[in-house]
Amino acid sequence: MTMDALAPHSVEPQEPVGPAPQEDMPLAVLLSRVLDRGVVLTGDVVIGVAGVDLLYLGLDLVLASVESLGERGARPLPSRRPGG
Amino acid sequence: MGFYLYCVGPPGLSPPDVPGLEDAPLLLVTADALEACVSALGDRPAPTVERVRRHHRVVRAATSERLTPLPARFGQWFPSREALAARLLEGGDGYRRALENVRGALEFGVRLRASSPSLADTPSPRAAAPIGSAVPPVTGEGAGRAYMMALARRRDAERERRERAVRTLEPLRSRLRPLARAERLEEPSRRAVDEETVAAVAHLVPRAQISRYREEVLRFAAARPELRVELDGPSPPYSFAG
Repeated sequence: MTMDALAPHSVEPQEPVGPAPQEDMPLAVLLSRVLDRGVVLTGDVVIGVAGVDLLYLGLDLVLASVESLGERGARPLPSRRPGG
Repeated sequence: MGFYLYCVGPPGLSPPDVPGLEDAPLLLVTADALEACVSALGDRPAPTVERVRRHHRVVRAATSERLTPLPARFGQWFPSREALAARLLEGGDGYRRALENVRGALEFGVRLRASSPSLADTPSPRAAAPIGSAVPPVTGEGAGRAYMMALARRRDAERERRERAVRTLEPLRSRLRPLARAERLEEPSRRAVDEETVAAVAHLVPRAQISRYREEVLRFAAARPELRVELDGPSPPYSFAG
């Protein structure tokens, strides 16, 4: 065995190869993850997405007001109020 | 023109070939050996479902088999490239620790649904005491007290059902913990949009353990057919990026 054979093929740190994300999670889960989780670099993110609280308080109504209802994917979520 | 943030990665992160918010192309802002994936945007975006989906689509595309960036929470906008670079410099060590934690791993979520019969012994809190219908619209003496008592009963029923759901999930969690790098039990308060989920747990799973993780969830679901167990993932590690 030569020294060349022992030499690493790369000195770059590499991550394990495996499946890349390919899921399609339910909308409610997606909203929870993307709006409530994730790294925060700017301290005013809460102010910046103050509308998020409105999303949680009355998601179906707020979304109806800011999205085109005819747009695919803008289906109202189950109402949080009886009969609402 | 400002910049909207999607994710933060180590050197080697490349902007994915998908459109950002408002169809803007993706760019990289580099500072302190960190790469931020951004797109130009005139102002801070208001949250809408379509924008949240677009944000997630970019993060997913940036998460490759060889690199797991830190997904950014929705809504982070910076007035200039310099402002973003300054924040990367300020928190650089913390972001690098977080990147090391998620390196080579992805997020999975397991949820227990309220319609699982063993959880339905207790009537759905909302069905048992919905605001506005549990208390007849009475007026006069005692009406306020009755209303507050109905609210308290509803709150107690929700707590009891959640505790039962968490106990139900425990055998599965004990099987999944050895396969996961980290675990996070979801708090119900911010999942108001998803009333049907009564218990949920997220795991950060190394890629090498993904198959075994899935098998364990499937085995549990098969052994407890009376439960409604849902699995999502792999997804970018939002729950473990902060």
